[in-house]
Amino acid sequence: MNFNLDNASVGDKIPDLVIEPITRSTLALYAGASGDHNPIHIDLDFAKEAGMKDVFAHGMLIMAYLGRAVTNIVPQSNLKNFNVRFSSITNIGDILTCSGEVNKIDKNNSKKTIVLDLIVSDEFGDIKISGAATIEK
Amino acid sequence: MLDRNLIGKKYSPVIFTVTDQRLKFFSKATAQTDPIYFDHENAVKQGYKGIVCPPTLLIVVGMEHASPYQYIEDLDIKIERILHAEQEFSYEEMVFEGDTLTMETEIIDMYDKKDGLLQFCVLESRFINQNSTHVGTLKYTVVVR
Repeated sequence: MNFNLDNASVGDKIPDLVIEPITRSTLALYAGASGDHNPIHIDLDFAKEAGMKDVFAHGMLIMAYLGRAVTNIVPQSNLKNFNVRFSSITNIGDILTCSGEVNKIDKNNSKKTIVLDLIVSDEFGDIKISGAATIEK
Repeated sequence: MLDRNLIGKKYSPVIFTVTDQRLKFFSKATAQTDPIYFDHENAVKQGYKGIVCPPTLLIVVGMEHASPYQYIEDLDIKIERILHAEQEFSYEEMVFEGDTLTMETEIIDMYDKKDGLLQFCVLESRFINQNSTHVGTLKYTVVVR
């Protein structure tokens, strides 16, 4: 599936980005790389103590995946705003798909602004995060 | 009820140099495939001054604060009651390996939903690089459950 920013129209979908199943190692690595050492994401005992069944993914890990789906199609220098709402927890084993579509295109003189609506969902279609990216060209 | 007097509270700045090691580690952890995010030579070949900081990397700077969860203590809640609700980044300039960022954070808003059952706290962090250029801003919204 090709996506061309120059002749994109409202409703066009960006290529899906499918992520490998989330593992405990994924979360340990992200904890280290991000510096977010909140034990709820890496320590099963702590998570259970807090009333969770298991550890769960950092929301920002999922947003990082979604960012990849955006920079796959747009040079990052064109990205002006990137926002998400976290709607449900991502569990170990979840297989995530990042997807998006063009919601709005504004042309103003020589500047073109494109708003992409973005979603990350699991293999059952449950939405994990939703948001938008504003791109200027 | 969260203490709304904390709106306006500022935290001590964090100064953070973006190293290539950190960018490579972050790329590995987020399964990054585009080499501009982990390979210096590739990034330079594509016209960048170095490895490119991916869109969500700014979030890691706050974790380098001497006490990154100070706001949770100030709110007087336990960390396990906090969930990340919303996140927003606005970008002014790109950030590359070797850049030194200064981050300043402030609690900018608090509100509640469902008759106070869900309480929200919004922190805003501004990032300035070594040339005193404002490179971006993030808004971090947590919900207390």
